[in-house]
Amino acid sequence: MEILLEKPKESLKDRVFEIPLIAKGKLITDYSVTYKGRHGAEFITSDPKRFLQKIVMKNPSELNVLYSLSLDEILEYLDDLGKRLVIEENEYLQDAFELGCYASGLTPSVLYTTYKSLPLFFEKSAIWEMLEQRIGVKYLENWEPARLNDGRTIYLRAFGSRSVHIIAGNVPIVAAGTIIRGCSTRCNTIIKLPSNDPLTATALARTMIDMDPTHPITKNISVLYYKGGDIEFEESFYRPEYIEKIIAWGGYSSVQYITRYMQPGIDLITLDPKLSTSIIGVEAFSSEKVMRTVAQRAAIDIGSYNGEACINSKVIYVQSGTDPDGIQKLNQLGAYIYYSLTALPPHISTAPKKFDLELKSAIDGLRTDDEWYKVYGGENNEGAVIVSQLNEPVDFSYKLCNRVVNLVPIDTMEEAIRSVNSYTQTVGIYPESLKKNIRDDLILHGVQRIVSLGFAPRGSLATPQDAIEPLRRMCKWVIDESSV
Amino acid sequence: MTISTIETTEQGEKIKKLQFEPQVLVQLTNEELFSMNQEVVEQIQLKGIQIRFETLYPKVQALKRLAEEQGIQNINSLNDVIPLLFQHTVYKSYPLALIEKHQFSKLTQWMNKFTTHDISKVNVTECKSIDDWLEQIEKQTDLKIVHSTGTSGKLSFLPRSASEMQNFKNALYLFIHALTGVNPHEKTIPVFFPGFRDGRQLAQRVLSTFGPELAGSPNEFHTAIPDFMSADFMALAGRMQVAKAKGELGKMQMIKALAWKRGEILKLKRNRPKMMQAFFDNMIERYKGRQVFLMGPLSTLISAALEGEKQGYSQVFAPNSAIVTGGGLKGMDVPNDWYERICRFYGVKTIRDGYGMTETTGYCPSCEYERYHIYPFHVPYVLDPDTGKTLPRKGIQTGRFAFYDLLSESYWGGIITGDEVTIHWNDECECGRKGPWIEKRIQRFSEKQGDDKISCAGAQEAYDNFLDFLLEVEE
Repeated sequence: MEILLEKPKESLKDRVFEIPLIAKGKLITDYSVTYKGRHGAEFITSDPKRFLQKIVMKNPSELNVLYSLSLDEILEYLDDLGKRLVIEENEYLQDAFELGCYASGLTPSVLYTTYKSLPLFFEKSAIWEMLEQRIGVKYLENWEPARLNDGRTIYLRAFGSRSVHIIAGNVPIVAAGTIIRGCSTRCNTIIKLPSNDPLTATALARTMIDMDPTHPITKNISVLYYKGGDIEFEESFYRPEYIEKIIAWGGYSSVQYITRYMQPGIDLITLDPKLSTSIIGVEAFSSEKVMRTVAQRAAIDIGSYNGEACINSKVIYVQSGTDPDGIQKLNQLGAYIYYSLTALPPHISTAPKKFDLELKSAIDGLRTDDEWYKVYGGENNEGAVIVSQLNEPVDFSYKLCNRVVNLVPIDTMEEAIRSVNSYTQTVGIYPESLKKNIRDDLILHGVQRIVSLGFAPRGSLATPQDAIEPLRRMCKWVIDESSV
Repeated sequence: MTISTIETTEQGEKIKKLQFEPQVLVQLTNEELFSMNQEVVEQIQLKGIQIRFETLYPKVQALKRLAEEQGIQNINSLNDVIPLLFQHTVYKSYPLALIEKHQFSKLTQWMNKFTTHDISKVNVTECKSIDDWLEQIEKQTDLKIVHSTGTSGKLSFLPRSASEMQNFKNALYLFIHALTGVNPHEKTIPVFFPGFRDGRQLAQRVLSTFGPELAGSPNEFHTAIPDFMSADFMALAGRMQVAKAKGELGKMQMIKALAWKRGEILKLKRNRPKMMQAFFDNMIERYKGRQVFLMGPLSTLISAALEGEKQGYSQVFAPNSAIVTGGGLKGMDVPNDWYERICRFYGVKTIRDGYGMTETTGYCPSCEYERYHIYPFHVPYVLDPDTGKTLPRKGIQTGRFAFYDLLSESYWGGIITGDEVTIHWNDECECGRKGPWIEKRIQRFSEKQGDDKISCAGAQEAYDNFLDFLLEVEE
């Protein structure tokens, strides 16, 4: 297949995409339900109600087969799987990419880079590191003894659970990470596909089926699409006799919506949408050369994944000072950042597919007056740097996306610290010395991840996520108390 | 075609006058306005925009700046003005922090860039609220600034002056006449408005200013709540709605604390149901069978009618009464036959509505074929939503609605809205009105994209929810 890196040219009108259902490792191609997509395309898939009984695990003893496998065997399986996820050789991934070119917010060249990186996530050493760092391999493999003060010995083990993942689709890595997390912890994993990435998880599951349809890991994967809000289906699906954990990505309204199905016996793990920010200390202005380097590093945090990911910096607090001299320096930095942002290579970042119209109109609304905001770029859809001339972010800061960033001048770090809250995931900081000084305060105010400026996109599955431990929480931590 | 080729000299003179004083258009009748030849209309519109540009360019700093940035010195065709249209966000481009920190002199300097009136000298040092600020400007200058409902979380401020309010009155009378057949210039009838007595939000300001005149006397102008609708309160209600949609509980508490500093809430909240009841009781008991004007958001009119039905009332007013509404159903849960039922309750054959916004002087009336007709004093445009370029002024076009409002005299009347519309440029409507018309289905782009913005008509509801939220603990 020729890999399409340009914007898809053909019209989507009358195109029909097939989304097969995967029920516990079995491919089901009964296409009886049609969903109308955006831009006139349609996709067809199975009726989830009809196959519900084939998807859910009614008898938990079925999980037992996963305990006949050693962790090493599981990691070998995933390592093998990773080797088959080379997009040039994997038709399913090619299909997922082709559909992603329409459905994803990412542009084809950036989307392609993320698909290219998939095999790395499945490497044995990477998954071992994740399990060891986040859980402790010994708890997955054995009943691990511990002595209590009263003389008793308890045995502790992390068991897999029967889980549903309602995943995000802004980056295909979420689908891969979900499969890695579920399989390596011996979970029965059901994935609800998102409409902005409707085929990646399916492509991975189909590769598993091709690899070994009878393998216990393959038989513990289900992937399906249903429309969130299909109450009749959801009520029969989210039940404690089938499901122990729901891992829900998504916004306030969609998570609030899931809570209606909460009842004793179901544990809800939420991964909320996050915003990220950066803080730049006065040291950035020590020389022209440093300023340009800082601008380049900031551009990476703003522009990677086209600014579509939770790690992308939207507002940057800069200790330029708020006097005229400071504002002038800040404007200069803004110009440099704009230059660096638009100079990022296309496999890392491009102009978005479609610029948010409301954001565009909000930016254009600032142009009649530069007393409070100075705008670099944004005439077309390439992105923009809005430099606040007062020490306040723009009032539409929550709408910032599509590589539009807002620089805010501050005199003291206090102002930056007060601006973060529990929605703030990543804060990229320059210089390192400043990071050490303010990180504790930032964390108390809600921040969940602190990185050196320019390294926000460099995440790892081996770390906690959003200040919680989803991998540990996907497990059931069971004790055997022995009293003699 | 040039002006001289227009059929008769008399008509030529009239049109010439209209070209140099386009606001005079609003003094014509509906019949005149909707029977004009489109070529003539466009000539008047072009000349009108040229005159506005020439006079406003040196005096309105924001326009000057935009024109310089775009390198535009002359307007030779209707489409030439498009790069100079303001985004609808322009009138709320001030930093919210100015209000939070009571920096009203800076807000004054900002507003000063949008009007020919010099408000730079207005003393606002004592202002502690938006209401104070607006009041001081009204006291010390000719400006009567109106504000939007603030449903996006921020109020827009539009610098209308006394002369423009007069234009508004005429536009409103035209609109009422078109919708109801009652000409307010010739006849006064009792007016009912289920809202506040006064306030500076546009619809509120228009009714509180012209309601008594429409009604013939202040005693015949009936409102439900005898209070002033505070701009600060509306701003907070809008911010609350946004914070709620985003799940920002901390911010909600902060807004609540801000609002609680104001003592009148509790009183209003307690008395509100009684006031509404009294309003409708008065309407039904004292005005039954009489001809009245009833104006209000559609949702309020429906709730009142369904409630009144339960109490056994129907055919409340004389069939020649005029019911004027707007705002749509905004997701309200209504019975299928709601329209027939409210007509039966109020005792009228039809209830029609209009389309407009804070930045338009007057509204586009809907006709019996469910189409919004655009008056010649509003120069319409349909823009490609992606490129911002204009779509041809012919055929049927769907895109972003923009307009130039020729009834604005002291501020720039060109606006790019947030609405998606479909305009029929050449299809003559069966109702007989000439000129372009807008299809009934109008959508906000922000809502299309699944934004958290609530609809304009949702404002009253936002206000009510806000009151509920404020009183959750304290009462």
